[in-house]
Amino acid sequence: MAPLIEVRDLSKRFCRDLHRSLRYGVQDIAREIFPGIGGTNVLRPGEFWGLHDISFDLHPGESLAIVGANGSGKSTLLKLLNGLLKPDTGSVTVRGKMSALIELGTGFSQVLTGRENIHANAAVLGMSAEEVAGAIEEIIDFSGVRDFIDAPLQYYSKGMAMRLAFSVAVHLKPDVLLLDEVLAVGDLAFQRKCVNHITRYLASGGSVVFVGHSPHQSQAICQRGMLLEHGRMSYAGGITETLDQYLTLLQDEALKATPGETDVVRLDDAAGSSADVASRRLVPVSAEHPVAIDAIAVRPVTGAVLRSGEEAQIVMHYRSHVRLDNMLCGCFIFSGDQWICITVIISPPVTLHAGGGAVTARVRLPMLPANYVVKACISHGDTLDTVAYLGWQDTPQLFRIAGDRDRLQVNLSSQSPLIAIESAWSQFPDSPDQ
Amino acid sequence: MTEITYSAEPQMARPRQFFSLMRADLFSGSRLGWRLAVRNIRSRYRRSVLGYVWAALPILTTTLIWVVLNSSGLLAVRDTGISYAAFVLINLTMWQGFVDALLSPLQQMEAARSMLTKANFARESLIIAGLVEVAFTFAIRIGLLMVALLWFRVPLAPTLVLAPLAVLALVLLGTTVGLLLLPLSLLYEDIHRGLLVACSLWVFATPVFYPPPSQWPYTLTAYVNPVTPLLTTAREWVTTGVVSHPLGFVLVTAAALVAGIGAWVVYRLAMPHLIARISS
Repeated sequence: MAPLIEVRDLSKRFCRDLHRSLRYGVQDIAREIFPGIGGTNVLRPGEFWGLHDISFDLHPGESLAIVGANGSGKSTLLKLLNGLLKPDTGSVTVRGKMSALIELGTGFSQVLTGRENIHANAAVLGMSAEEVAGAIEEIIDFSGVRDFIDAPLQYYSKGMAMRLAFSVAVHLKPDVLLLDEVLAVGDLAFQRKCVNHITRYLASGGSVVFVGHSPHQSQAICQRGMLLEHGRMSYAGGITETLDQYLTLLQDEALKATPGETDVVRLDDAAGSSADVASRRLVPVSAEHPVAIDAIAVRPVTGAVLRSGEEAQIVMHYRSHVRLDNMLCGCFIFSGDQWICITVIISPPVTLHAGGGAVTARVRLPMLPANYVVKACISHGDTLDTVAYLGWQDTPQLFRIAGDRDRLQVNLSSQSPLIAIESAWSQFPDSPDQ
Repeated sequence: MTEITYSAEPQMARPRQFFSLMRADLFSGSRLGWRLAVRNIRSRYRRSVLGYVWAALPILTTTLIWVVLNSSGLLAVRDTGISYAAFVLINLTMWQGFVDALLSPLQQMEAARSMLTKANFARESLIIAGLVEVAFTFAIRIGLLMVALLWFRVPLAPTLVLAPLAVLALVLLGTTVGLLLLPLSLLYEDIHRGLLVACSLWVFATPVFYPPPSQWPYTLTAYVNPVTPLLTTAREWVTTGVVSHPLGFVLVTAAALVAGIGAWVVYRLAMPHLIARISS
């Protein structure tokens, strides 16, 4: 079957200088009206490629997440797919009906009532008056703002207005739906409702191109992913692998951006080996701030890399102004996106020596192969007041659990499992075999 | 299943796709334009007590100023054939219809700037919504004008039934000029600002507050200014029934029609480039 979206060698250039950009706009329009005057598809002075050389297909029933940092070209790609922008090279072919939600509430007027705005917004999104009339009660119910539906939109909270806008949008029935960071509306329950609605749409044969910064929503909605870096496609594959690439990229960039590279911390464990950690500025210790955590690392006990289910050692290096007894050291292990705290490991009361030292812990990590981060804190054992942090206001330490996921794990990765637990299974029939 | 290709090559390289989309968008744009116009009209005066009165009040006050100036002798306007107040009121109503149509495309685009860069809908709908709004405001003013003409006992000619044609021609001319300037106006603010200044001068180069001049070089206003034959024809069809510039009327209307179609094509060709330059 022919793909619903066929993108070939797609590029779009932009200009950073406003006046030059306007002049180029006039030139482009003139070229469009008089094709004979020619022109080039190379970069003109002041221009850069907002999107460069992108090719992919989207087939019926498929869902593709486009991920990347701000300014990587995600929204530009969606606008090109939707025909809002004209490519500078390459082409986009769309088969079937396409709807795009690049912004919620397009066409909303603050002085009109919620009901009137449903009609206006639905019209702009391509629904006929008859379709709106047939769906309006369902739209109002979905939004959950029935009590305010005949009040002017200016009396709605922002969340309510966005819920109303999204409710209109989800009642479109296109062959392909383009979503640009529009699922982060309303409260968590409403977001879950929206994601469920999209997954039902996909199950009924719809196709989605999704741009969002939430890895969970991307995984919940999409099977495939594409990572954009500075307008170029740097990775394309399964959604889990794509997000993994993206998170690694973010962490690499965060490490590069760590402020103050004047003091490099080297971690030396009891065996004398060094661990690579982020370069960071050492926080001075004083009577007022008696303790600082210089670094934390998670390293394998045997072998060169950390592996799921194997033993690992956590090493925390500190400096202390004075000797401190009865202190608790905590290690917080988060998913690579730092959204989920997987576990917290608290030490028994320890003594921190004047000058500095290290605290280590042996653990068995049950996490599946992926990138993770570890953060640390030190608290008083009596008062539980925390006296030192690492990884919250500065860059946390990245570590990776290596290994290939087996076929089943990859298959289940859209559910984003984080840990593996041991299990023992048995089976028996309801009644003995005849 | 519909198939559409967006490519780097000029849109006119696929003329069949271009003109077929143009036709389809005119149809869907008409329906959407109507719904957008209803939305705009409903919201425009919702927070106003006087409401639709504001559509006519500026014309009434301007007319009053000119009538006072004329009756006080500060201005010596020669005989207009009918009551001066009625004369100015008819002309101003027609002129304002032209100006509204002229500014409407840009005003619609500016108001829908965010919509244009976020949703792919028939772009014609904005022009059509503007035309519906112009027609709505015009209808209110015409109602007021009719009351005024009866009040001033202005004799109405049987050609009154043809007056809507002249009104249509004025709106067509205004929309065409507005549409032709639109691509540049969206890129450069100077065009819009310049247009507002031009309109305030243009009204004096048009026989709105005075009868058409009969002496050279003032008669040029009838030949150089395309609004003059349309506006005078509209007034003459309402009052005397004798048209002084029939050829001018026909030529300007035909030229506006042809240029209007050309402006529509340019508008469509320019739109993706404009969106790229005004996108946030």
